[in-house]
Amino acid sequence: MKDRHAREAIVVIGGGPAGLAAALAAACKSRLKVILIERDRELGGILNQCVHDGFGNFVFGESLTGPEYASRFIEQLQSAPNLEVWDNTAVISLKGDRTLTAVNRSGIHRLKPAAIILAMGCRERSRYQAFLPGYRPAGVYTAGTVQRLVNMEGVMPGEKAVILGSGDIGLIMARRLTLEGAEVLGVYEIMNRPGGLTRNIVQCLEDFNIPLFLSHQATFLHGKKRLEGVSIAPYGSSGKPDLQKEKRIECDTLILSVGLIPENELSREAGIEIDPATAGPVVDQDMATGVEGIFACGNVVHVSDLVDHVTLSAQAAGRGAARYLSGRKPAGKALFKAGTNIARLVPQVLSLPVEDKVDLYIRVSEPAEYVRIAISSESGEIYNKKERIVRPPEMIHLQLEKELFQNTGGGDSLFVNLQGGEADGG
Amino acid sequence: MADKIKKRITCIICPVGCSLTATGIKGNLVIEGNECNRGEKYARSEYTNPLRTLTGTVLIKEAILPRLPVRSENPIARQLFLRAAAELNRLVVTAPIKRGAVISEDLAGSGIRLLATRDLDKL
Repeated sequence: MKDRHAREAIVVIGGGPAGLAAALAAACKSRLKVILIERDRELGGILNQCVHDGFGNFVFGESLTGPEYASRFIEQLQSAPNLEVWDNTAVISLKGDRTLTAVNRSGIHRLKPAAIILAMGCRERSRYQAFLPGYRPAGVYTAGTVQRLVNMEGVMPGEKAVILGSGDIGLIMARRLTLEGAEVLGVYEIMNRPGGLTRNIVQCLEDFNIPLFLSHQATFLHGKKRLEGVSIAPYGSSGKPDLQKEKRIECDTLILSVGLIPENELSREAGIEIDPATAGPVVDQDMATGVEGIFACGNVVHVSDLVDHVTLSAQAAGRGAARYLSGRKPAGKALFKAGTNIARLVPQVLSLPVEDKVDLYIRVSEPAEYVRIAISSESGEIYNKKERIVRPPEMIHLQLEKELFQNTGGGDSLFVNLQGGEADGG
Repeated sequence: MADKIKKRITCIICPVGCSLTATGIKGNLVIEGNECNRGEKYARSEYTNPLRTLTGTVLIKEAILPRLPVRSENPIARQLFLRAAAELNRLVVTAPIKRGAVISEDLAGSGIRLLATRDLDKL
């Protein structure tokens, strides 16, 4: 192919929202060639099927639809002279020395770029990962599959649907299917709080009188060829489904919105350390992984609720890759550590010296009100911020001034804690 | 009194998500449950005329995909949603279409235009 060795190139793997922003930032900050590899026939990734609006409130100050958000980047990309797009191309192997293997219609290509940015996004948790008992009929889909079928392929998956899980894509598809004439019988969530954003609970469910049932679990899928119904039971005080209260709902379609998993097969193959809390690579504030010259951004690092956060992390990765290629090496590393009521945080590593603002993303374990987010080193608190309310579905984004870290040394731990407040048992 | 109409509204302005009630009594609207003034303003607009941006797809011929994504240029009254969605299902366009192309001049009598949200080339 065009540049078999590509030693003088930055390769971005994945052309969704993360890959688009990372490739643009890298092309703008570096004079090297940037190759953006996408396995689909066009760029944009998941944005192409997200026809609803709500994208870009933070980055562009307006509420765009998914395709509009993607086009903002795709159009800029066409005017970047050092940027090359390889579409219909899948990366099938990545080694720790940055050797990668890609396949497309013209054959198998081995490249060893100067830097790589991982932007593979995430995948939906499937029926089998959600452990749903019963038969294996047609009519059981993940929410993103339904979204692609309805919004891009023009195919309706069924007429009477039950949605399992209250993740954002499931809520959005409840509204889409209703507007397309299907009957959405209800959304059943295993947790005792919704998984999606309040905005989506209001505008996708309440607007259409679609009921939301918390603390409910599917207990059996009926139907040997096509789905005929789902049995559902509430959680009892024992922490198990209360089968006395099990009921069967007649439906031909079950839509799963039960979580997203970062797609890290290539990262693992390359020997990149994965954080069990995020299921994505451990990264520093430049989104550098532990393997030299490999960066990662967007949902492959940790699943975000807003695309704006994906874009910001991708821009950091693009700049970070360019900075790495200019010869900058960190002098030391400190670690951010998740403390009280912090489920996960990114970045996990702080490379020293800190030269720019640090974007810190935090997801809490439990909802809480009137809290203080505090960051402390061994010698005392360096930062705190009050929050009226924090919830697991809404990621917290802190922009930390570099001066905060002037006394941070290599090997230090920075503990991030949520203090005070009443966990509302949520 | 029969003219009291009470609505429960979840505020979406900030993450607190106050549960508001708006009660209309003969032209007066009483808002309760809000922690701040933004909630009051939101509840008023939700009570009197909730507005939403309608998004969806229309049938497109001779393109790589059978559906073209579209949006209302500005928010429309929520009550028009089902009517507008039915209207979308009657519209047919032919590729090529450019993002921003006007697909309908007046969506469901709202006076708001319907726009394409992406380019779709001819096959």
